[in-house]
Amino acid sequence: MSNSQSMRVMYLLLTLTIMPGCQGDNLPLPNDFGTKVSETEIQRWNIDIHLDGEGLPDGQGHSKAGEVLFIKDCAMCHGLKLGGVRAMGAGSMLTGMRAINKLPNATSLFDYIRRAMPLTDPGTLTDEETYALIAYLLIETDVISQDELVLDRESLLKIKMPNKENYLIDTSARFMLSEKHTLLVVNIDK
Amino acid sequence: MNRSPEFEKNRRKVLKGSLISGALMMGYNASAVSSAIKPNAIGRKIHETGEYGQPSKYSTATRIKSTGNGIHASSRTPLAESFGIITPSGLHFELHHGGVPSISPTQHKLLIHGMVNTSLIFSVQEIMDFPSITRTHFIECAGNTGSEWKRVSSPEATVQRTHGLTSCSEWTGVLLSDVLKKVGVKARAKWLLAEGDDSSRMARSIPLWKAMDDAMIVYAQNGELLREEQGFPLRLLVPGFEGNMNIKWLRRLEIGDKPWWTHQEVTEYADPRPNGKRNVFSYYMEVKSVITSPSSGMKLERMGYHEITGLAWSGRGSITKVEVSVDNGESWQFARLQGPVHRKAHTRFVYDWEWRGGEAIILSRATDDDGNVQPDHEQLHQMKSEVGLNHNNAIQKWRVAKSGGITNVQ
Repeated sequence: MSNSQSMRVMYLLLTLTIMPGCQGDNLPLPNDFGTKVSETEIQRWNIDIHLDGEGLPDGQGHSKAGEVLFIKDCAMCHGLKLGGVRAMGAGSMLTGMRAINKLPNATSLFDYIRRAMPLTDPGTLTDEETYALIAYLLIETDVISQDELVLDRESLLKIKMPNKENYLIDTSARFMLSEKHTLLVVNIDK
Repeated sequence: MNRSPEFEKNRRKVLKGSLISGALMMGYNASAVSSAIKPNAIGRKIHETGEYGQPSKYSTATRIKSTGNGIHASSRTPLAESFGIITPSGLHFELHHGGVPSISPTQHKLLIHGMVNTSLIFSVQEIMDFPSITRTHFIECAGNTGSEWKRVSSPEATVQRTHGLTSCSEWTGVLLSDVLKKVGVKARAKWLLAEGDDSSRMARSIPLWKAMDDAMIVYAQNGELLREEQGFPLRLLVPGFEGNMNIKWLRRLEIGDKPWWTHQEVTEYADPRPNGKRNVFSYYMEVKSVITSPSSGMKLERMGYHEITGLAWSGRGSITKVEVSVDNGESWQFARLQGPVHRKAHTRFVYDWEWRGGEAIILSRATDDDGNVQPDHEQLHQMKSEVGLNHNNAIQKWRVAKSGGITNVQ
């Protein structure tokens, strides 16, 4: 190749490399933001319990086992009689805004205990332990009138919390009337 | 002009006296007249402590912490010592339910899944790579001023104690709607569950209409990355809605068609009503104002001119006017709004007051551009209920005694 020919090739190569399109090949476009995620991975994150019970795990727990667990892990903050221990910052489970028998549904109880309790060690309870604790608490707070209870997904969903009719939905939430009815009554017949 | 010899003698004496006292005042020393200016010693070298500037040691503005176990605890903004509308990041109020986590921004991820076309995990950097927006917004805890619902909590309570669970910052982040458009929200979706990565895994239901409106995922506050106690590295911002919904340490958004009725929604942030009823899903922090200075715990040391100043805000829009009364609500005058006036942000108002030394009860009343007027306590009880805790936006009164001391009254 002559000198002038190779110069022309060089110029050609130079212009090709700085043309738009070639330079943009390595930049991530907005379409590439975020990584696709598998269902298995999602299930590792997806710890919440839905109103209709979606998310409630397999397993069961006995209220007597729940009592043993409560005394061991919960009473130092919540009080042996569930009245709360002020110095530990825990209020009563029997009265006030956190009273268990004043909750609208039992699913949020499972959701909350599983994600946030014990306060100093959350996420350490097994599913069986969570069912057992809830069984014990429902008896102690008179939601259930039995002496003993075995709780699992099906029986938890059947629990009618006595206070749910006392929940008023603020208009700012923009609920539809039809939705309001669905939300206040958990369909146990499916 | 003829003056008497007596006068002249006195004049010389007076002049001589004043010269001497004048000289004394100037530090005149006959044997050491070198410079008329006394030099200052060299100040603190900036190299020693320059990396992150601190307030003067003479500044007394600090947050006050709540009592309790510290894990579920809060701290309040010193509103009486505030200026303008921006709360310095270190003085921004905060409330946490499981301590304040220290999260690595390179390891932290945000998962968005549920009723979407494509579930995606985002890194913090990817969220920061979206087109950014910057907005100024207040955050207020639903329980702010809850102690004053029915009666005065204590006459000595300062404005920091009664109103300190609200602050205002400039937030930088991305519109949540931009991110949701990426994953593609299905038509039947109506709700989101927003979940944080603190140890309590705080979770709240967010209506989709708000998520697609002005909700943001923020990563910066007042010109720097979020502070840890404000949610570093990512926080949900739902402008104008109760503070708890602005989920910190945001790790997951699940899209669904029903609210979750999470624990906080039905207990701590439910509004107690008569006959055991509870009002839930009450989102808006309604129009509110408070005089920050002079306020309870302070003392007027002199009669005459005092600037009454305070803050007004509304979760529904902008403040259009603030009225001030210095006679317990008998008469009202307009205060001046000291700009800027932003939507769903603190707005500073000022009012010129001549204190003549008698007892005075001073108060402010705000109106927003949605047509809402801040109620007094009687109206609050009528509109909502005699019993209550959250969403107390009633007019606040401060009583100035003849001595100049100021207390919290109703």
